[in-house]
Amino acid sequence: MADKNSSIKKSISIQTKLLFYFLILSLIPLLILGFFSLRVSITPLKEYAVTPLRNHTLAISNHIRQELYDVREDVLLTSRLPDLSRMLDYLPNALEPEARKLKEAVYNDFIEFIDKRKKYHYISYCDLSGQEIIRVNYIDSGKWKIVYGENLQNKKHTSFFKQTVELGQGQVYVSDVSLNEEYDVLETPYTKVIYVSTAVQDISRKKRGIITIALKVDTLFKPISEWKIEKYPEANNCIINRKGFYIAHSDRNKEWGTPQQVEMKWSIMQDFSLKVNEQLLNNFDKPLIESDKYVFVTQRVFPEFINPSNYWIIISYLPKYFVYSKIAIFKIILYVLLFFTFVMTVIVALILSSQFTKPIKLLKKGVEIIKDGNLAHRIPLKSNDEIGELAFDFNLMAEELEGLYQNLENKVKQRTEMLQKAMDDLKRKDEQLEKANQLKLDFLTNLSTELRTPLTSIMGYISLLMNKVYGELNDKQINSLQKARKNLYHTFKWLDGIIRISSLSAIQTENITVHKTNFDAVDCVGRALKNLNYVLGGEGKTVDIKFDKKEKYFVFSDKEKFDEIVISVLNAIVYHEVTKGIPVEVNITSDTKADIECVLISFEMRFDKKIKIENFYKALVEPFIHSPTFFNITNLSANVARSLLTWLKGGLLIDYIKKERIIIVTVYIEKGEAADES
Amino acid sequence: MNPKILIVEDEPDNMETLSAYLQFKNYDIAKAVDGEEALKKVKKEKTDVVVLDLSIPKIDGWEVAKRIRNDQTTKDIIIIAFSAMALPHEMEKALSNGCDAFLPKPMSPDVLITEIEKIFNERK
Repeated sequence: MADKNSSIKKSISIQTKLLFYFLILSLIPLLILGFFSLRVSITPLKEYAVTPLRNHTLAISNHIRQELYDVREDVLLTSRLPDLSRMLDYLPNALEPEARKLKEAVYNDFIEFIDKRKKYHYISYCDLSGQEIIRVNYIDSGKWKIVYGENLQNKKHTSFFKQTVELGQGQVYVSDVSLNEEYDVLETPYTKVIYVSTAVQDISRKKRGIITIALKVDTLFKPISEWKIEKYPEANNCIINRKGFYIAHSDRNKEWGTPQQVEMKWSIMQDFSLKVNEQLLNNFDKPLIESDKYVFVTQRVFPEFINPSNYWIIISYLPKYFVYSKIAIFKIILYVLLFFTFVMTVIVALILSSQFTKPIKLLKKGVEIIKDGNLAHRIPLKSNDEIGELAFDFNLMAEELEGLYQNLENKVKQRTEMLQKAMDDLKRKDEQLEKANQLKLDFLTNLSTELRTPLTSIMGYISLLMNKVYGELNDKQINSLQKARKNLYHTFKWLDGIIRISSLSAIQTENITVHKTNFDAVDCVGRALKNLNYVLGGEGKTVDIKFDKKEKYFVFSDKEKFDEIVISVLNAIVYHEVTKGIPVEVNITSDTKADIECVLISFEMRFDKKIKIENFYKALVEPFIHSPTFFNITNLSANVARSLLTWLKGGLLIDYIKKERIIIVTVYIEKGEAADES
Repeated sequence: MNPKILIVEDEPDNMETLSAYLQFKNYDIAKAVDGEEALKKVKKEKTDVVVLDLSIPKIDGWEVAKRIRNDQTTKDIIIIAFSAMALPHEMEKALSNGCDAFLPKPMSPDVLITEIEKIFNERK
């Protein structure tokens, strides 16, 4: 059984191992490759995803740069206009008509510029005191207005004037985005402008004033609100200054337009977390910034070109899920593919392992069928590999085994027939023996009957004579009758012993009825001793038996057979010549024999040194022997008691203590309870 | 007054010795030589004790014992069986058929007297 179990285990483990190996060989590289591909592809995919944003910010940046460049060129060109130089040279000494003419030439130049560009709010020339000398405002739709006389303002207190008068030749100042002020108050409607200005020198390189172009921010930042990313039309675009305030935003609601709104801090602080803001304002090495919700692409633009401390930040941002939705889809597809491949691999591995182990299973099944006794079975395996060869060899072996088994079966059949015949013979003989035993028992019964009937009448007549029923007898006659009765008893006991032991041997054990009850052994022994004394008295014999047990010892046995055992043991003792005149001490105790609680009835005899007791001991211990030496009443009675005790699951012990010349005959029998007696 | 004893025995010598001895011991006796006679006399003679040989003609001793025990008028009579068939199973059979005691042959008349007295004493 253990071998079978272990073989099943091996068979299972082969398929499992194969499956395991297949999975190891295929799945691990697959999973590594899959997850590696996923990991490697995510970064470029992200880059790819944000490329439109990046291009968009770059385009906006280029637009602003280009616009600012144009303005710079315009302001520089304006500062070097010949008409302006002429006016600077001649205006201080020119008379009114001449002066007007000089100014008109500059006006015309300014008008040409402002009309051509249509994005400037105004162009002005201020002298070094900040007083506007020439100024042309652009109204709208190709209309312009020359500012004269009292309407000209002094700009010396403005930031751009203060900054610009300090610049050298060719340097250009670009202001922050601000609301245009006229006459020191904000112009209404509010107009967001950037002041681009440069210093003006005369022919002798003497600084004479500044040229200022107020550039309308709406034109400059037009792409923020108007340009759309084809791929991400929902993308938000904005430009913030160094402090994070929106100076332009695709959502006009977030773009400040009044000083009050500036005070309300229209900035990224309102829209994003502190961490994101920190990155947006400072982390220019990493133009791609991700928050929990958004993806940001930033691009710095430097309005003053050569001044790196003055910059704006162009930001394009989108909700993260929108940018990475395709990447997420790609991931899901890849995971599905991986899972599908995994499942397919497992299925293929299962199929392959099953295919590889199928011949082995077939072989194993065939072996089991043959093992179960079907030697005619052949393994239907015809592959050309080693297993096929093994199956072929195994089939050959099975064929040979079948032949051998057939031969063996025939032999077994023959032997079985012989055995059956022998058993029939034995049964017949057993029946004959049983019949013979019955005949023997019948014969012994008849023999016993035929012996006892005349003996009864003889003993009866002797009793009548001895009791002087038929008249007085003299002593010699009585003595003779006593001797006759004694010899008669001896002869009878002898013959009866033979008949008894012969009948016991003839009775089948299963035919013996044992009726067990609980009874007192002391009482039984007492009665047996009394009866023995009576019988011995009748025979003219006496025996010295000491028995004064008062305590009850209950045994669980067949009472009649127990009586017979006690009488047989007493007969065995008192009918031997060496026990004549020897006191017999009878004792009853309890002890354990062969793990059973028993009652022990012992008969102890102490002999004088002069008496030879070896034959007595031998007669007690030897089995029944048809030998003149041992064939006596003691031997017969001891064996009768022994036989009966065997049936009652008791025993007879004979102890011979040589040194003290003591012989103890002990009967032990199962201990009982007082229940039946009560 | 000594009890009346019915001796049932088909063997004349045994009948002679038993009856002589019991009469010598002052018992009032009756005799029967087979089972039928025994069953008739056991009622007629108002017997106290039946000394019953088990191997007797017509109706055997076991059946006689059984019928005496089953009859309301005789069921209390003491039955002392004796038989030459002295093997244990014969004794068991006699006792199971209602006998009060079983004495194996050869049997001295003294033993019979002792057994009768013993049973009477026990019944008292």
